[in-house]
Amino acid sequence: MKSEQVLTTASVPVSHPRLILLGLMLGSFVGMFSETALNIALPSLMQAFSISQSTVQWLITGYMLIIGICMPMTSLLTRWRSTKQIIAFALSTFIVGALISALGPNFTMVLLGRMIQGVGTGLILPMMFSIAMQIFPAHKLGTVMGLASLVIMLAPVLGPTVTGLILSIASWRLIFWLFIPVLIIALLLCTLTMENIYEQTHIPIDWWSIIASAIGFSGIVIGSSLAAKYGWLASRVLVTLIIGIVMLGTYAHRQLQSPRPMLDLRVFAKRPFTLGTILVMLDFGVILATMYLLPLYLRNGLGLPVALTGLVMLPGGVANAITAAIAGRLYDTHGAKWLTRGGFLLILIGVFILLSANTHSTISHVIIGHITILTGAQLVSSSAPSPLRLPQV
Amino acid sequence: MAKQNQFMAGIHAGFWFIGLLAVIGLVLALMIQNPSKATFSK
Repeated sequence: MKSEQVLTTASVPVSHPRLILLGLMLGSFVGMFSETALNIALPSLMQAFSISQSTVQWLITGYMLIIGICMPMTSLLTRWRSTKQIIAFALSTFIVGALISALGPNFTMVLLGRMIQGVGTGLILPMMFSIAMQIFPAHKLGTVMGLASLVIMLAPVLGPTVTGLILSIASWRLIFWLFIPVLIIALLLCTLTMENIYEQTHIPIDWWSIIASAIGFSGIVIGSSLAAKYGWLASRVLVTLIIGIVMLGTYAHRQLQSPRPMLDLRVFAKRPFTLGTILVMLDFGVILATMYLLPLYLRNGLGLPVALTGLVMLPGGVANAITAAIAGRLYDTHGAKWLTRGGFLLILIGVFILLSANTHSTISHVIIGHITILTGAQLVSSSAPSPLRLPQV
Repeated sequence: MAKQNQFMAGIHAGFWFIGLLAVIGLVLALMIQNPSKATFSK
């Protein structure tokens, strides 16, 4: 009887759970879409501001760096500020960042806007999953988490296609302008329907953990980014990476020792959780790397115009969406094991197809490789997170 | 021409990196066990 009640009642019942989830999903969609949306526009931005590839890359790495720094802080923030305040702050910050990038007269301002957008995404993404877990009953969590995962996996796949079509008719600035109306709708939905989900216990702020995580993530991202310019063995790259790794190690050690950690790393003692998390990370790495490399190859390697580049990326996105639609049924009949293995095998086949590509390859060659990788990636993302989605009863 | 070759070498290195992620994923995926039917039917 008790477990039945746990299954049918949300931890924190709210009046409009679906509207709250919709608002959070819209905000997260823009955040994830934004991760790859600029990839196809990088050559245009290099030209517009007369900057190099390694400089323009900061629009991607800088954004991800801020996301990495902000994400671990969300748990702490929920103990100090109401849920509505945090969500309103995250979405408003994103809107301000998008405005600064859209109007930026130089690269520094565009990058500044981009990093401010990272604050919004870094807060909204973990909040979406965390709030959804609280406001929906356990028996609905599988569907809700699947939907939320679909949004964050599909958005980066659609990014380059939509941007390619935009760039064929307008300036790269329109990409940032387009974020704003969607974010305003998300902000209205969340501020009108959001209730307080967490108890504000005002737990002490562990400033050393915040500093260690910020320096740690910065070291890893900046070190990897510098490696593109100076090579992995350059002293400045190695020093930056070592600082990052040491600080992240310190951060992890502190979390494991603390009775009230910022991020409870003890959850990784559960093997299915750890395995699911690593598989999702690898899958995400595949998607983001593919979405970064292919537009670059299509534009600079094959010399395709921007609109055609967007169109070439479209079949992969469609294949990804179709796979997402049928993967749920496949999961029910075959389980996570075969779907995940098949997914990674398809990614590997796709990689070999693309490895044979050169500056004279046909468009169909690239499309086949792209479709194979994204079909595999979607099979993995539909099944690998299953250890995280199982009802906690 | 040399610049183009260098560019393609960088792109191929990126594809090899994706391949490496897929191989690690495949090896880890071999450790996955399907949950029992009882877990599914909850």
